[in-house]
Amino acid sequence: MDQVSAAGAEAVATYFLQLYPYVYATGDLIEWKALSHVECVFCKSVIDNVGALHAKGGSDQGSEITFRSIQSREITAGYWYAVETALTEGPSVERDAAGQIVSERKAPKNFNMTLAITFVGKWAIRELDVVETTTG
Amino acid sequence: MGRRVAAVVLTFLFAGTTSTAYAASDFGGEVDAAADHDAVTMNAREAFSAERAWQAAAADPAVRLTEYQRADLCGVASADLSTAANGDCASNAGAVQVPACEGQVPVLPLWRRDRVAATVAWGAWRFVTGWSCPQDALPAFMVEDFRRLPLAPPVLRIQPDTGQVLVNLATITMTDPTPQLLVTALLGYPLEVKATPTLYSWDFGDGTDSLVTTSPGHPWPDQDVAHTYRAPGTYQITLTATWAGAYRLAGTTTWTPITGTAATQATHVPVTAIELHSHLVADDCTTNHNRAGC
Repeated sequence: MDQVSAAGAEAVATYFLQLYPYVYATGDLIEWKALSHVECVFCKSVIDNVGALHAKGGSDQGSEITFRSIQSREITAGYWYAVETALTEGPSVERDAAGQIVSERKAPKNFNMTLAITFVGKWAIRELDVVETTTG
Repeated sequence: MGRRVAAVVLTFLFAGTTSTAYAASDFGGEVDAAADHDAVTMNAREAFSAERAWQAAAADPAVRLTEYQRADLCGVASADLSTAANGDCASNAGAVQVPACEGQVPVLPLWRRDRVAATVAWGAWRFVTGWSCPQDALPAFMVEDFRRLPLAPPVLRIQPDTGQVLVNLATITMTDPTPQLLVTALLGYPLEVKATPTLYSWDFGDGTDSLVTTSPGHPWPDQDVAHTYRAPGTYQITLTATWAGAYRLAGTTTWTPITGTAATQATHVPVTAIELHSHLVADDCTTNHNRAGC
């Protein structure tokens, strides 16, 4: 992540996506926000959803991320990078403040994602597209 | 985006009827950006700009260290993304999806190669961005460019329009609110720009505050923009119109709004406000054309 390169952008994308189950489980959004561009719609959706979940005392376990493939490429040297990944998100369980199961997703899901990542003094996820796929 | 929103709504409905269909953490349940601001489009735009900047720099081919080219993408199901310029595509499997672009010619994938010095062989062509539609890949049409377009200031009309108006009686002002269609180019692509007036600021030239309206004004007897001069004098009325813009590639149907506005200014020939006094007279102008007021 210290390297401003396609490899650095790939490391940023990997780290950011692995934060996803962590923020849902803990409500700790510090790192997520630090990497989210202020105009990133997907990033804000997670911030809003996690905030609402934990504000009512709930939490979410699961959503383990397994990367099936990941590629990165430099678009503008030192500034703009694209990352494409195919990943599997494991099952997840949402519990309320009392520990009761509110909802449960038992089947894993497969997604293709495209990330636009910028470096302006620091890395930022500019936007993230999610497309669910039926096959692994 | 619409499809994605529908999916979120359905998930929400299911959550009310069954406890097993929805869990809060689900990438597919998050809101993502609208199509023209999504990551794929942003990456395509950035690549397009990088290519154009390289073209504009026009570095000497003998010594330059970076080159771009647009070329087909070999099959994508195996190996790394490559192009025929790197060798035969025959060993690459899988289909390449070329987008439908509302009748526009899709933009070929972009490739880049580098070398560390002019005396060293070029590296292989590396994939920068895939097939895209020009309307997606083109950078946004900026408000600075919008402001440079020759927008015709709408004609400012007044009533009465005799060069003289009366003190203490309303002077009616109006203009033509018709949107204007202009043709320009964005990086070589023909572009249609539609300008629509949204706000009118009327300066009546007598030191009073400008009147700002969303109405373009209407002629008597339906007037809704008017000003009353309180003192005799000669005044120049100025109309500043604020224009909102939208653009599309010529031949496509979807307008994209321009962030920011343009303005035009129109002035009317100076008008003189006069004061009329009433006189009691014994005869009319036909019988005595020398009397005051005739």
